[in-house]
Amino acid sequence: MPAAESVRVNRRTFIDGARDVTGFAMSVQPQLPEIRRCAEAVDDYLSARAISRDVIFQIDLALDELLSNTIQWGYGNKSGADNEIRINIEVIDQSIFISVEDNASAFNPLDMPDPDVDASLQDRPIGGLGIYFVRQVMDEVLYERKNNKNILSMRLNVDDTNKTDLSGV
Amino acid sequence: MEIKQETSSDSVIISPVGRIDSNNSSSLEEKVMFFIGSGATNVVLNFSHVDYISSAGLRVMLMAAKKMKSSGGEFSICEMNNNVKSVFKMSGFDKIITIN
Repeated sequence: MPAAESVRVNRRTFIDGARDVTGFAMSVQPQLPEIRRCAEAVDDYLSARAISRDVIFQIDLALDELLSNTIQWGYGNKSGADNEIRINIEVIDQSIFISVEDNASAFNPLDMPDPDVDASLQDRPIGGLGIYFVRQVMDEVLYERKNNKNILSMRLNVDDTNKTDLSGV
Repeated sequence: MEIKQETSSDSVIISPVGRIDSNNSSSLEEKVMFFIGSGATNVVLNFSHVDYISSAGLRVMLMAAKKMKSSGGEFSICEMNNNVKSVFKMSGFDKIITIN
């Protein structure tokens, strides 16, 4: 199967919700302290799959930026019985698939303009970097609004050089 | 968040410990802005014990750099690990903030 085809199939499997039995699934309340709890669980999951510290750092960053955005702006820091953010991760071959789903009001983060990263200190506005980081770190980011939910599906490619050698363990 | 500090005449070295993220960046902001407001002309952030920073932390660094520049003082960050440095590079902040 050509590489492009294989990626497409994997993504469809991922978006349709078919679960790799070893996939990561977590639900968090819209409160900032939850981000760290999520990061720790994600770190454990990815370390166990021999993903390098550098890649885990980037995924932590992307998830942190998305969650803090949703918690502060999407939910206005309000938790409630029905408010929850779901994070799913699967590692398939050389790709890490991540989805973040929330039931806050509709917001497509991909509509945010990129900051001017070449602006001078005086001209540089404060803020606007979080979503930019997500786009920089991920190889692919898709937004959907479905069943009153915001769903962000992301893919990050890792190559063999980023994986820790577990042979002999 | 644990934040250590050393002051000498008009200089201050601030050393945060651990992660700098949306959950704790306001306590760092308070501390950094306090020293800038109290007239320090040389503010150094020592990142040797910082293992993670998000855009919430960068926001504090940008505010501090802007404020020091407008008052004619010096602001710099030292001893960043490579992952933290990559976040500064991604944001372009490595070009507008002194990193030693």
